[in-house]
Amino acid sequence: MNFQEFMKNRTIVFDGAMGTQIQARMDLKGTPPDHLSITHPEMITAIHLDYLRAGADVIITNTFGANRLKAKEIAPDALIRAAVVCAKEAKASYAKENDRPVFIALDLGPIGTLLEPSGSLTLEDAYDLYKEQVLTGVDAGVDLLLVETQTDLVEAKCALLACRENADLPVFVTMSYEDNGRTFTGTDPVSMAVTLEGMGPDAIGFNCSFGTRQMLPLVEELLQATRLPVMVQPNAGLPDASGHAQTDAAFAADLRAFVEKGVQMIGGCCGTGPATIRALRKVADTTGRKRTVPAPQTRIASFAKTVIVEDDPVIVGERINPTGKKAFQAELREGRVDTLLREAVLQTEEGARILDVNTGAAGVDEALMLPMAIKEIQAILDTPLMLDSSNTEALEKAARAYNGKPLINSVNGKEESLAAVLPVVKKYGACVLALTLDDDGIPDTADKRVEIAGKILSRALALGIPKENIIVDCLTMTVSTGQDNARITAEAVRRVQQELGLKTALGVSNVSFGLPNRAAVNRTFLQMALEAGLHLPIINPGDRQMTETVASYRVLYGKDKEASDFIAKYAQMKNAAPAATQKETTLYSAIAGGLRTETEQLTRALLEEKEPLAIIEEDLIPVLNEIGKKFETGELYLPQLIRASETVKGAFDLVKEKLQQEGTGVSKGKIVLATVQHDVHDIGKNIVKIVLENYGYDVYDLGKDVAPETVLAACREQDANFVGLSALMTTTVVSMQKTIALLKQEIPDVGVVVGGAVLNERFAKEIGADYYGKHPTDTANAAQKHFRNRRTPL
Amino acid sequence: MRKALAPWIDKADIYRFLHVHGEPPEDLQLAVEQGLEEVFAAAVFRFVQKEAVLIRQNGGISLDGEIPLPYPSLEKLFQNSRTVYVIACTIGPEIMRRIKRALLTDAANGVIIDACASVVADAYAAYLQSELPGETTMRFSPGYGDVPLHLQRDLFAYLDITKRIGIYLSKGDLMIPEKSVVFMAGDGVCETEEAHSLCANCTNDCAYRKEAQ
Repeated sequence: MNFQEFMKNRTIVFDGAMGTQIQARMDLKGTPPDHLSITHPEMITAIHLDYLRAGADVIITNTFGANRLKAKEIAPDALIRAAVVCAKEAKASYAKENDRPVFIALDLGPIGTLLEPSGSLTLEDAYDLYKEQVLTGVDAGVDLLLVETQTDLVEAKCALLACRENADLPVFVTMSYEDNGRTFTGTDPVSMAVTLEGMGPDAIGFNCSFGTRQMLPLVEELLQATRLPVMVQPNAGLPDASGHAQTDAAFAADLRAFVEKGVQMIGGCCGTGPATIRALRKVADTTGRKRTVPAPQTRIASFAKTVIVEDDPVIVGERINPTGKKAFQAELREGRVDTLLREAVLQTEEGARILDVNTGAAGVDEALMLPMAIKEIQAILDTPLMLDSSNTEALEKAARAYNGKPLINSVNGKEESLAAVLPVVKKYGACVLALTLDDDGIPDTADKRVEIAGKILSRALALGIPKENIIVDCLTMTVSTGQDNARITAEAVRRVQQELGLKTALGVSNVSFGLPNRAAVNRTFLQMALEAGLHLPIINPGDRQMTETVASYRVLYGKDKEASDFIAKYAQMKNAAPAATQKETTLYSAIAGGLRTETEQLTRALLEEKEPLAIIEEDLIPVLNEIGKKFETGELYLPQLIRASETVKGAFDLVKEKLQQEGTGVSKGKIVLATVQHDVHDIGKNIVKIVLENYGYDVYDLGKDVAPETVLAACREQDANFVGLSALMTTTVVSMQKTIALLKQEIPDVGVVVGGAVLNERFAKEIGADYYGKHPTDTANAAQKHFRNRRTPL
Repeated sequence: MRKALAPWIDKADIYRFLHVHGEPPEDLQLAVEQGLEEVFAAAVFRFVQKEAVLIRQNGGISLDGEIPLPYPSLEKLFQNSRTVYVIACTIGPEIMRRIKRALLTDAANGVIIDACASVVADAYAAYLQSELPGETTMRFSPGYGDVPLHLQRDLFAYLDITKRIGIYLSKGDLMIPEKSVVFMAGDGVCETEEAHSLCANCTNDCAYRKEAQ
């Protein structure tokens, strides 16, 4: 009997802790437990046998840490094979005593190193680590795969992919939760269920965590969030000073409650033993399961937030799209994500609950850029994302890198699109935006658009993509080219829901193209579409008229219960502070005071009188220098310095705009910035970046933990010969020294400024730096000196 | 937790990180209060600790005979100790996300929250130390003085820190999330502690240097 047949309609008992049982038998003295499968195989076999005799249906191999990063002294392959031999021997011995079918699960514990974007381990490397273990385990003859004690959802996803793509065995995935109802990295049970469910595990659940007593609400939440079988394998109390104090009877009583609610797989983690499993066997054999499987829902999730698309509109932010935005396009071509990240944060603050992410522009390799953008956004934000590209490779890579369940934008009715995109949607369990167009273009009737939506739905269903994962975009056509266009689209929106039972999305603003007062047309069309039942308006959340229309609609149609969202957002409107009184300000006082509007007004006035370059040299830079001096002498403090730097940016932008109109170069020079290899602190470097940018330099920020070779490559690629390096720790100053040595060797005229808490002037010279930046403004002074001495692009 | 940490939150440190000299202006004081609110709203406080026996053997010291500490500064600091408390604590990863978001849209506020978060993490370490029985020496972390940062690896394994409270070590032995502290404190008092305290002995004029009290 294979395991999938065995698990049908049965409560399964997994074994208890391996580590606890080893510690009861010997003092490990720092030896990794996985080594004992080779050094003490009889002991590991005996532990397995004890669990089988206690009634476990599944024993888990002694391979928790058997991956290439953790297991350094003995190859993981040898550890896994030895562990499976121990499990098999126990199984064979048990077969002589009892003919009950029992199974072996390959234990796949966490790698122990944080993955991108929070850490430095790449998804590809993490995947390879799991793949190696899976291939060996399958070859050694395990019956199922158990990914366990995961705390980072993207690692769990990576492990699941490695299992699914390299084995044809059942896969179970469990994560460890804390008493705040989240994993260490912030994942809640619903986002975990939504993300993993579509990628085909056979069961999901919890293990380890914080003991059974307070777990019931989490277990209930998970049971209501997934249609998959649920597994729970908790600790017997917290694994610390409390000493796993829970009794076997109390543990079993708690797990009985879980089984009654519908949990199908139970077992024990730290602190449990054969007696615990004996008690669980009894629970499994004597407890009826009453599982109410939840109804399917359209859900899009990040690692920590899930949006459920119901009959209540959800704003999708549309601004992360470089189309028609030259500066944004240029940034993406250079691999920079500043605007992209700022737009992600701002749109979320403005009320977007999903963000469309499009990085398509001439000269941008989307297959590289889109996944990178996804990771960068997810390092700071938990808003669920819509992955937007016409490049299938980019969509596939982004869906793989995405930490959560994405909405893929898009598929359409063309055969080529269906064949390319739907398999990606299926593989990653994603939602997909289905555009109602085909080889004949966008139909001019609602009938035909509904027909195309139906075609896409049937093709998706045939591939095993559930209906709830299809969201139809009935496509907005401009009324300038046909006055029925808006009505047709709205009718299609209504019928797609009524006739196909699908959710809908719509980009709205195209409707007014070619008309005056577009804002009025847009918000009226939005209203039409909402009334037709639109679920996902794709709009600019910074457009108040549009967001107010959505907010008002939600009140008027009773979606916003007791108008609580509306009141929370708009109650302050009548109390808004009056506009600041106009008073005489100088450019210095406006910038130093962080007065952006006044700064821009004064700059505009200057532009009437003077040449743009003269404004930079005679007005802006002297003001910045003055502010810098006052900061150094303690008259201004750091937030003031930064606020002034940000304020001056508006002035610089105006001057640059004028220079561009005149066809003049605007860069004062190119600077590469990095926090050196092995150092993860980048706040100081980020402050320096703000200051340098506002002095008019083009700054290429390579981020943190940057290898010397990467800094060199960036200098070459950008033709930059000035570099700023940051290090917080004494230990990472070594990396700084190596980077400087490499740069000096390869780029003789390079200038390097260094900064960081542990450095000083003397130390900076010792490691070969040209300049030391005690304060952010020192770095700007160093750059001025450097470019004055060498080449001045201005 | 905010109440418990209140006695340990050193606002002077926050202002020092923000390069404020003298009395901070009212608007900054307000911004710092709001920064602290934000930190406490985002923080998830977690710690793990173990009591190690300080073994003196063959002219050296070690924790439980497992982790050798061949460093003069620790030999001096623990000269009167029999027990060394090893503690790791963190205020979690969410606050770093908030700081990074603020740096994108309101960088001045971002550095204020960052300074507040650093001080709250340190206050948490001080609070945990205050909960230890009896008097203890100063808190000492790997990377201080002559103790290499690499000792982090041993302490991480000793306390099983990654599994228990979710702090990871980077390749360069730095902690993720950043607002985390790992320290040792011996029981008893070290008479010469003041004399070899880190800031007093250090020649660097660094942002973290504490002025003599």
